[in-house]
Amino acid sequence: MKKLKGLGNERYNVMFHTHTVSGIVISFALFVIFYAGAFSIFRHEIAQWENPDMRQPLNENFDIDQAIKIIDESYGGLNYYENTNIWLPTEESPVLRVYGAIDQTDSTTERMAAYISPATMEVQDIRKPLTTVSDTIYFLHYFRQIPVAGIYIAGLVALFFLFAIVTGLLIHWKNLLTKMYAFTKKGSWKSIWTNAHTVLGVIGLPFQAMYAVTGAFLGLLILILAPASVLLYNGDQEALVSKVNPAAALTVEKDAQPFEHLSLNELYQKVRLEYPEFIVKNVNTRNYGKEDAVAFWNIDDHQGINSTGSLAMRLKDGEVLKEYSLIPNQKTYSMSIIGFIFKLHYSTYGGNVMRVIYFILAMITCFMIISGILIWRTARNNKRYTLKQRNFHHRITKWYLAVCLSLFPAFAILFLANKLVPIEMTDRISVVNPIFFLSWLGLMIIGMFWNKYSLQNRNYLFIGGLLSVLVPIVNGVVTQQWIWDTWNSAHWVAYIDLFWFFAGVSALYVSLFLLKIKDETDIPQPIDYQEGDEGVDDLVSEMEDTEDGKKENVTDVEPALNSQLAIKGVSN
Amino acid sequence: MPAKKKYLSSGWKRVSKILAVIFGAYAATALLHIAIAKSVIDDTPVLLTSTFTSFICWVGLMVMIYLIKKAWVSWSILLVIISISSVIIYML
Repeated sequence: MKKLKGLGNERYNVMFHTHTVSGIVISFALFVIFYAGAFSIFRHEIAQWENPDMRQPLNENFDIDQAIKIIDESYGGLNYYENTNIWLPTEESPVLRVYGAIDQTDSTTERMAAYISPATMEVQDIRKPLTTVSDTIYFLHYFRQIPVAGIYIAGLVALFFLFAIVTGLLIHWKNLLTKMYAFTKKGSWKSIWTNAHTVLGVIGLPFQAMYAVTGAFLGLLILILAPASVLLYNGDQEALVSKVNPAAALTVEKDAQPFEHLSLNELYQKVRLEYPEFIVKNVNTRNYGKEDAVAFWNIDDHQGINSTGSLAMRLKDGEVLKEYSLIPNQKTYSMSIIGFIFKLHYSTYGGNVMRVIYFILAMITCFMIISGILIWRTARNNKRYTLKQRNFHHRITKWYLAVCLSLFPAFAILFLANKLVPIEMTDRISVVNPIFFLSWLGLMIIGMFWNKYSLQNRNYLFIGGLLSVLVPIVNGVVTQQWIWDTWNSAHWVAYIDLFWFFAGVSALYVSLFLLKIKDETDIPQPIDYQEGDEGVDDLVSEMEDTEDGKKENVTDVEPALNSQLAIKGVSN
Repeated sequence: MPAKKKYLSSGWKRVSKILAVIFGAYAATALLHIAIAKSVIDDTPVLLTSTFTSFICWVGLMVMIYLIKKAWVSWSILLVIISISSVIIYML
């Protein structure tokens, strides 16, 4: 196999160290981000699972104007000069959502959000939601539960993830081509974890690098835009926004006259006819019900990478305003780039197949993170470290594994709590969310008493498997909508039930029949530090491991070996 | 398998490198991108590209700082980027 030119010995070691330090510091946070992120790809579908209001069949004959009217009445009048944004019903979310502004007594406005179910025409405040399973998972994805700092922490984790990817790539540069398919179960645990880590890291590299960059973009964009806005536009942020979004340049009159303009329903049909392959996601209006009213129809086909568009339409005569519109797939570079990044990160291209691939790749990345933690610990469980140091490594590993592996049962508990806490209960989300976070904490603490990593893994899988199987059953009992009922009426609900069922059954099978628990404990045992050639044996075996059992790196090994022996000679 | 200690920097050199990675590399990245945006006629595409190339550039400089043995060499490179970019931003 062809070898690429690797780093020299010194640079190899420096890169190795930076990779280890950056990796181990971010590892558990990165695991939470990827695990919660994988579920967040399906957050609209989870929202349908959790909320009975969303579990109705999609009625194509909805009335946008009437929905605005009802919301207007129940909120005592909206301020239509501000953005009034209506999200149209979809299969996963068959309700009309209205995001508007209401006047306050002190001449300011406050944003409001509510949805109407087309069947009952009942209004539900989104700011005081009935259920928040998908939101809790989505917020956990970027640590929004941590006040203010959460998203910046997530952004920094993404940045150092990119650093770990680049340094990891440099470490394995020499053997990069063989690492693509070096699937093996042979050798010591250290080499199994090392192989899993490098092979999955190399295969998943484009996906992970994309998420590191787009994640840093979403978390830390302020660090890039703040100096640019000061130095290029003298701090004028609106100048910056109008460059990305032509809609921002459009102005409407504050004191425009009331006007009987065309109906949004009529114009909606017009957009549908013009773009039959596209989904009309939402319509954002300015000065609705006034003479100069404008509507921006945001469309997307969830297939192409550049297929988001926005059609600006004058409501007086239905004319499309070209200069304020963005035509899908015909956008300039500047107008495309932000949408491109969002599509890559949120997986809103390539349809459902792409979303499933994203989910699997995210889970593979989670496994890679865990194997990285285990390499870190296994490589340190030897004579070169004092017992005290090794105990410290053991405790850290145990904590990290407990934080990561307990998320599987904790998510199942979140889904169960959503169904077991009665939907009629007032302020029920302040019960459901603490149940999730406290049981996650509880599961972590229990995990600290399991002193074998294999035992931690087996037990969390077993608990998680048991709880997962219960999810579709509890859903069936509580809502009276079993998998076979929802299969036709709301198929995403059935898919989520089936996902939990199969995840649970396979976790139970693996934990009961496949996993073997080692006899010896992972607590560091005292080693006779006097005996044997300290360090040297490890060094040789380690070079063998990294070279897939072939001693091809002899020239690199020898100086290192000699210097080690020389140091020993002096100290003896 | 852990990296051999004798190759790793210690003490002030380590602190200096960490400061270079976080602040030096960030300042160099931000100013470099703004300088490029200033020196072209239409700054919009450059600015929008910088929203993702900045992070790649920042991490690239981080790796560079660790690949160069001497901390003062890395700092010099960063300071050269920072000063040239600042001059461009100030002049144009």
